[in-house]
Amino acid sequence: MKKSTIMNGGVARDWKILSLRFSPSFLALALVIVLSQVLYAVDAENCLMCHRFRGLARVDKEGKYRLFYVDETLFNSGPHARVSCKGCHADIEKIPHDNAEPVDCLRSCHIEEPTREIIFTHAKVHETLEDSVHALTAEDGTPRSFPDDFPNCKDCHDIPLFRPVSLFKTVRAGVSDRAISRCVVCHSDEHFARYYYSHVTTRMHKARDPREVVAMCSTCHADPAFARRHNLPDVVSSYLETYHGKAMLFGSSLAPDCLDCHAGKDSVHEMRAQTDPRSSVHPDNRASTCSTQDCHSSATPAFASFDVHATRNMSTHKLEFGVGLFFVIMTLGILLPILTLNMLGLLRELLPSHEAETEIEHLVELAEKKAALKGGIRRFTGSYRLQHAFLVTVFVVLCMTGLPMKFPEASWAPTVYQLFGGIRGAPIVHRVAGVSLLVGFVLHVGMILLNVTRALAREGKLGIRNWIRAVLALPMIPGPQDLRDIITLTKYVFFLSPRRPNYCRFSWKEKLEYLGLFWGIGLLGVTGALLWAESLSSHVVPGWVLNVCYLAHTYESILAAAHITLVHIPGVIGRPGVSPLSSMILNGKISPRALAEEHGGEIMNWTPAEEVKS
Amino acid sequence: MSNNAGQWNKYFLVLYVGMWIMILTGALIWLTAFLVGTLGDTFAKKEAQTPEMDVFDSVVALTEEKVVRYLGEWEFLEPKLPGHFHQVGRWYQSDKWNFCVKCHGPTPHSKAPQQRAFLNMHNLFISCQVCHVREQEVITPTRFGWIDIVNGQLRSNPDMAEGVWGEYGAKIVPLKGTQENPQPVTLDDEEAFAATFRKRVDNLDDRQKVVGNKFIHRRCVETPIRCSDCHNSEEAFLPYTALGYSSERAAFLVSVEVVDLVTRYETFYMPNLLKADEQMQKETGEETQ
Repeated sequence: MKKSTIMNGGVARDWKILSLRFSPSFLALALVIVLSQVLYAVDAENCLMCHRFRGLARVDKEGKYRLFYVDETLFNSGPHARVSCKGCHADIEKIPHDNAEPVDCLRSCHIEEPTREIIFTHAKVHETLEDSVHALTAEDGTPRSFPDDFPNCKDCHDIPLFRPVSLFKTVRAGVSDRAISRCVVCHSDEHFARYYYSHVTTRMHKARDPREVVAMCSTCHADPAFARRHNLPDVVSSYLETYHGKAMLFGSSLAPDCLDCHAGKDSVHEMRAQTDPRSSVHPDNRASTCSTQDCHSSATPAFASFDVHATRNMSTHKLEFGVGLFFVIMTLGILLPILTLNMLGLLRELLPSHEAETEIEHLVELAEKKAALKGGIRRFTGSYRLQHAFLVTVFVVLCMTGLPMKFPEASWAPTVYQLFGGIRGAPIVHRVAGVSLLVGFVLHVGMILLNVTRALAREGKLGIRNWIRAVLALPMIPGPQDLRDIITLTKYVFFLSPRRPNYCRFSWKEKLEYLGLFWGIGLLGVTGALLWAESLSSHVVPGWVLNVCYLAHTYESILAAAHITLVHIPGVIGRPGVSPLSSMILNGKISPRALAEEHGGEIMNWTPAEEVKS
Repeated sequence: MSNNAGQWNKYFLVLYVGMWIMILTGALIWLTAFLVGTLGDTFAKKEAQTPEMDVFDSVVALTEEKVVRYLGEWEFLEPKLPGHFHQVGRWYQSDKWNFCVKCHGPTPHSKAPQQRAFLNMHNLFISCQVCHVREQEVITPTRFGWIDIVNGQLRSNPDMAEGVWGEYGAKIVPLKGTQENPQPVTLDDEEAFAATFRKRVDNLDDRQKVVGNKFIHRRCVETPIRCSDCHNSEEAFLPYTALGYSSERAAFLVSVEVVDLVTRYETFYMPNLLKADEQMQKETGEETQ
């Protein structure tokens, strides 16, 4: 007995602990405390005399490794703990015994079902399974093709383990000692109390973690060969693309797994094809399945047209494929030409034309004079720098809380996500950052329009036509000169012309980026809001719109992140002479050389008065 | 001097521009492949990405499967054995010291149908030499000690109460040398020969392989120590208490319960080649599993 207790500690110590939330020593201690108290070993036959040795094994004739070891601690921490070995291995009559027969999970064991005092059996599960999509025969009694593909008990189950929760004041994992202290007032055997507490509270939430359930179903359903044999789509990949799947991967115990949607209300084994009218995922039943009290309770029936298993396969999901294709073309259509020009522009820096060099030196001279007189050339005001800093911060937060969600299986994703509180905190941070960005953007646009209105009022030119004209004349609005600049740049980088473009206050690249914000923030804001309040959205738009929203949100995010990291950062601070950081974002001042190289047109446009001043 | 600085600036600029171009080109290729990869049949992509395994790799892959158990308060990773219902917990520490396991593995016994699993179980804490090697000249069969299975050093008796059943990070080994300076019985020549043999086996002809195999096993006895040699109430082959077993455990190992169990399992060992297939199947019970 002493050995057994010490052994439990040994087992706990040696387990490879994966949890990051607790230290190994804490876990070992927890294991000893929790599990040893659940122990209720039923080994009257003394089978563990031999089967407690981990090396009790052999390789059978077919090369299969047969392990006869039983982990005492684990065995005793699940609902089978009260079942004796002979309860399942009934053919073993004596020790030593011959090779054991395979266990029949449907046999009646010695355990008494306490509510009705009848002998317990899994036969009811079998009945349910026989009427499910996993049965070996179809509804009409015809045998299914590929019978070996259909699961038996052991394909989905090994010995279940308790996952008790404490519900005493707050819900947390583990046994509530306060609750046990009340149980033992009447039930004096603490082992009994702990066993039943664990048994009952395990059933008060998911008996298995969603990650384990999905892994179990994936054994077959993620196998392309299996799916092709049964004409099934790639349901696992499509599930992992949804918020459900991503939350599951990040360890949310609340994330819906396969069973939450596909298993019937009466039994997790009650799983039917979506074409079966009794199925929980039959088109007629989807709305009620989605809108249960624990899930999307306020969703309308229109919500049910959301396709959880949408792919971007042209033959099965034309809409999703079309949306995906649009964004892929748009992203590459924007980035490829700009990046090509940028890279060729960098190469041209190595071999500048004499004309361009002479012109730049002249412009530098002018700019240096002005800088010397004015104590530098201010390009951005404090207000703009503040807005830029805000945008940078919000963008970084959005990326750090959004990209792990996009790539949840990447090795870095959990670590980055955990910085923002993991699946419980990061989505909230993401939404707060998104709303902040929207609000900031609206304020920015409002401020610009207000400035335009004030300027017109000062000049006494208020009126809608003047107002539109003034807005279109803003320096960030593209014009015909930008097109000419693109042509000039293209000729220059391809060595077709010695003349380089001299941009004014803003180059065409900056204008494109700026206008891209209107498209990007608008699209991400709208789709993000619809996805955030998915149930409420169903009052306005049908569920399939959310499929489109998801695609738009994810592709647009990639475009934004790629544009900033590949175009903006290398194009602005990656330029020789500017790297690693432009002082412009700190003090708003631009160096005379940078001004001459990047905004030579601005120097050229200085009025004679300005030149005199300078 | 300024010319030199100008040259260096030029070199630096070339390096800088080259670096950016490489980064941007790489990123662009990745992005294009990623975006295009988001469209189409995911199964087709999986099939294309998963290399087709040959029989060897697929058999090995089965032994490498692992599963994580998420139990709320704690999590653990355990090996996944196909069709195995009971939890495994974790795998045992492998023997890095004994060279026999390099070829025979940790479950070397396969012939005696009733005993093979038991014999393999003893492999957790008893080295092969104890039962299979005998050198009458230098070994007193009653001298045994423990050897660390990782570094091959002799060590003191493990604390059985602290370890998991049979897993002490050490194995019982026969000793040679003086009482003051005991040495484990090792098969140094055979080990060195076996290492070369494994490397060159593909280039050896059939006769050379047979001779080489014979040399490696030249000190293995034909009749190894049997279960009843250790589990008997009269004179146990292993000195349990000297090896650190408690007196209760030592008494249990030679108790009627264990001795009776051993006696019932122990059958006359006959080489399989002399037995008909039907007889083998009957004994091994392979058909029933």
